[in-house]
Amino acid sequence: MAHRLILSTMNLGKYIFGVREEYFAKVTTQEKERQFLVYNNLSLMHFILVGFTALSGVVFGLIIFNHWIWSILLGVFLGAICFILLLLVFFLNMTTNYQGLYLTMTDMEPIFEPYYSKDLRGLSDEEALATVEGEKQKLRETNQKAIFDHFHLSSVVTSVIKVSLILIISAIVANAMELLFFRNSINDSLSQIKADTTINICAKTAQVEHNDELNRKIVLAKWTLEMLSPSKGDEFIFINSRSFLLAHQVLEMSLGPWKVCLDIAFALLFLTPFILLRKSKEFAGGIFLKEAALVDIAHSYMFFLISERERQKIKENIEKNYDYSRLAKKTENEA
Amino acid sequence: MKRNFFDVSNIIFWILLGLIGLFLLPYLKEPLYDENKVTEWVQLFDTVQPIPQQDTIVVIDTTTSDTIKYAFKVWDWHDFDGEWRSIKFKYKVGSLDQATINRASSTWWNPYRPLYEHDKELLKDLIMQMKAYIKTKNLSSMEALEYVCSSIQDIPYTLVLDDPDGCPCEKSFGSFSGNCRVQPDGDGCCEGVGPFGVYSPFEFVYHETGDCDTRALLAFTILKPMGFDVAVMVSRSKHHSVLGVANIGGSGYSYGRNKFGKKYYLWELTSESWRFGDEVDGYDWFADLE
Repeated sequence: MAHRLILSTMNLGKYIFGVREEYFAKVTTQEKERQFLVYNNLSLMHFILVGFTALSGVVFGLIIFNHWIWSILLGVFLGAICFILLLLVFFLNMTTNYQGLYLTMTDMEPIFEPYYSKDLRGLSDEEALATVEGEKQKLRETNQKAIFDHFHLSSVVTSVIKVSLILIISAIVANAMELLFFRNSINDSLSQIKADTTINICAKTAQVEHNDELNRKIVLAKWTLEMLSPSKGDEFIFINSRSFLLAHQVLEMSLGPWKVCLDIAFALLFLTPFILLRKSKEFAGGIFLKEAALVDIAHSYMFFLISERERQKIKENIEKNYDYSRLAKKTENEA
Repeated sequence: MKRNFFDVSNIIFWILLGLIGLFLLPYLKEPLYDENKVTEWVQLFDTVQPIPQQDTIVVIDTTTSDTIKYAFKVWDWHDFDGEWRSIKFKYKVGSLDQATINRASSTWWNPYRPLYEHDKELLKDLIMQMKAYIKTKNLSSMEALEYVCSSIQDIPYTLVLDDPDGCPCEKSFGSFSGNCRVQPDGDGCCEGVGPFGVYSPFEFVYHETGDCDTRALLAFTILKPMGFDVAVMVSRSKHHSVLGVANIGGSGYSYGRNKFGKKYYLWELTSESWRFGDEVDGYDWFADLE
């Protein structure tokens, strides 16, 4: 299929998730293409969701500000927030299922410990790199199966927070999209309300004493008609109402249970990438995250060796060139 | 080819996206959007000016064969001032059967609404004629309410039970005979009116017999299309129903609320002696139909 071919050869995931070609040097072409396919798909989903949010920003902006430039700015702002938040949620879920690598990444002391008592002053960069590569290869070979049996209660709490965050974004987007989809029908309904004799008579009725409910209706009728008229010298661009709440109420009334269905559809749309990352073995058990973990371990290991070597050299230099006993005496005399 | 979790979820995402994209097409949107809901919402403002606008009164053309589809009934009563009132209205032949079948098929989670929705059409002519009278006489909102409610309160009380062998029975407020018609002592009893022991509005008008919720439901069916903000109020503790009226009322009047806290003042309809504002016993009145 054409779209599969494109998604398995292009590298869209590089720009979002840092999927680099060199990570797949040691795997088959088929495996590499599969990884490209899943990360490109995830990136596409991310772009689509961000696009939806940016569009929602424009929709809300048009209702609130009734001005194109402010609306576009709001769209960009909301899009940027969604971009960062979704990316944060995605990255928080991108944990490798290779248990050994996970444990090594979170605690590297067992690897570093033997070097604390070793003299590393003569260690060259090439030797350090060879040691690191050797350890990397060993870890790669000893971690062949992606089995993760690590559970912590905190992951439940963080998952709840992440899902809530996604649901909030999806609810915002769903409402905006519904306003966009049913814009003409909503405008017809608003015109119908504006022209309705009953509500106009109600708005013109004088308030009475000791009847709060009647007065509330009069106030509501006045407010409704006020919201349906644009500011002086202005005209409505998108929805013929100055109030988002009024437009939303009309939408909710007219769609009834269908609104709930659409809200659920958007919630599922936003949750799918999150569920994919959590449950699909293509991500947590995939080559990319395994190689990324190995690269991370290798970097830490390499920097540890070099910094330990330099620390030992500096320590030797201090011991040779600085007479601490003299400094100590001087301090005593001064005292 | 065996599909794994990724493939399935991926397909779901793109299908959902496609389905959402379909809403950009006008033909799919129209059936989902119900414009009548806004019309109903606007009607709520009608309580400020409750005197209804006069509908066009249908003149029955007796020269055509169309009239054979209709039957007529005279609905007469003494109003609260003792004046004699009478309305002759038409209804479609077969309406009673329709109303009975509809009532028998009502469901437990919402017994009143289907009866109201169905029977307001059957009683259209009665409602229209009452509206016409109110308009002609230029009655105030309170007078209009009294005009309608007196027509219901004038009919003596008869107990209505869903139990097929429920009559005769003993109740805390009296004993009832096994005759479904209104008895000289007022203690008629109708049994086997399933599923909830309530007659539909049309059945009540037709048989001129009914108990508390049957009466409240008929009052609601007539007043609601006139633009009054009314409700069928129910008290679980008292096993009783009355009419609820919003926006017209005062301090000291008994009242109940709907789920949003809106006040409905209570009007007992079980006998002609009750008036709006009379104290109604009970503390747990809520709007079951509004």
